[in-house]
Amino acid sequence: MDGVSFGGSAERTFIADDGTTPSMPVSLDSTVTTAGGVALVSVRVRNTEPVARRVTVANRLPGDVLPPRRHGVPEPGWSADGYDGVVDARDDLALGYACRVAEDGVPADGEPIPRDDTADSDAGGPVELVAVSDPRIGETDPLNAALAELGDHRPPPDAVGPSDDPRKVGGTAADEPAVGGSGPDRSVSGGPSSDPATLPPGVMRYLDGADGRIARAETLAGGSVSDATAVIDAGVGPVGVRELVALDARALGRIAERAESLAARAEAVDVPTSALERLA
Amino acid sequence: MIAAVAGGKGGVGKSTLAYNVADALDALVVDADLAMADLPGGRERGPDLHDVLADRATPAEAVRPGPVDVLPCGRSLAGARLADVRGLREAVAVDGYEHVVVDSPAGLRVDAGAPLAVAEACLLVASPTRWALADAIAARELARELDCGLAAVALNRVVEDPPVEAVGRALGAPTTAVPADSRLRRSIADRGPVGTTAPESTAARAVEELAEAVRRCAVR
Repeated sequence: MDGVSFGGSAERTFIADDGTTPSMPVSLDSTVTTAGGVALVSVRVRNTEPVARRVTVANRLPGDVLPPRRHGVPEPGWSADGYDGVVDARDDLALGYACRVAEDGVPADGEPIPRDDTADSDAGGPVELVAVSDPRIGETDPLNAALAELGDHRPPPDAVGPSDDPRKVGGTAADEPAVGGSGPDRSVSGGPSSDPATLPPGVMRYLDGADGRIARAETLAGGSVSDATAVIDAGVGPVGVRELVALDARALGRIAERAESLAARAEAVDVPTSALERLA
Repeated sequence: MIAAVAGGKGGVGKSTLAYNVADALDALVVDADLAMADLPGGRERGPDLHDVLADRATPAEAVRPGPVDVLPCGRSLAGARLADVRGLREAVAVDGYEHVVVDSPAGLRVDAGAPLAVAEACLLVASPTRWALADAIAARELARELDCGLAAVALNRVVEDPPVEAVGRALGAPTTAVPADSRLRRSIADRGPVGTTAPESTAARAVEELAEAVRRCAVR
């Protein structure tokens, strides 16, 4: 190898400080070799405890980690910052990675690569053991991570509109505006029906539909077993009903608010009929 | 082995490659594009992925046998709303298939992340343009966050001199150029995967190369 070997190694002991467990000695050995502007770092993590430990090893060299790859795919556990993995009980974990630095092991900013033989302080070596924990805690389901970190994909409820059969909605949502979608009255003359006791047909239809869905949910919640079975046999899944009723609850709440504010405005407004007649 | 086909960007040919790679692997292909499905079967009668994710059907009930077996996705927005992606892992684990290819939607929302989270490896599809590459890099980062290995990159619909090596370097995975081939483009509509309709074509060889990359990940 034509590069400079820094040789030697230093051993440091990391004491986990998670408050609950006494000292958990996990130690770290590392060596750096540079060749052609690339630092090759080999690391050995030693666990002397009778239990497996999850360790996080962070790169301290001035450059991104070039992790080991197989078929171009980085090995599991590697990231741009370092490695995260599990050391078995009373076992060693051997790791190796590369890191691009300038020639002669001196990075562009002139600061020499930290040598292992100065690794008495925490910031000394090319790598640092930044965390040791119980592997059972660290195991998170990536699906949960996706759910926690990524935005909701579902179309907004206004785009869907409550309906008896969710399969129909996609097709009918456009031609039959759902909740709040009918907007302001299309023309003054086509406004509310003359009989104040009758609700407009669209509103009636919607309320009847919501009534049916809520009744079914009530049957599932508190009805007799045979009633509930009949509902389920009719092809209505409890989860679907719960979702639909939740949508209904929100939509009805919004309608109630809107109706209240409109009623208040309608009562408050006073059209100056005589003045307008004179203008006409 | 569950392999996701992802790409960040829409319209780069994810579904087409998912369908054809599934054929080469003799796999089931799952259309996980919950809001804008495009694999066949979602308009037909019978349960689909929306129903499976809403607990109204089992995954096996929703599979449509064909030249390539498809677990289709419904087309309705309400179905997309009711589908609970938390059930995706169980939904794609259909008995009787050694490999399952999951066609992911575009974007970086949870419906795009969930297939990567449940898959062991992914194929990234990019079109050979600079802006599509940026999207593929974003998708690649998402895959890494979710512990999904990158099996290979498909540089799709290349016409001439694809920048295969540059893309491979940028994304850090073996890269396959897939030529613009009308038989590939029509394969979903005609239900004729290119491995059957034109087994000797460059497109079929590219598809086989991608399938081989998935198999290699399964061996690991």
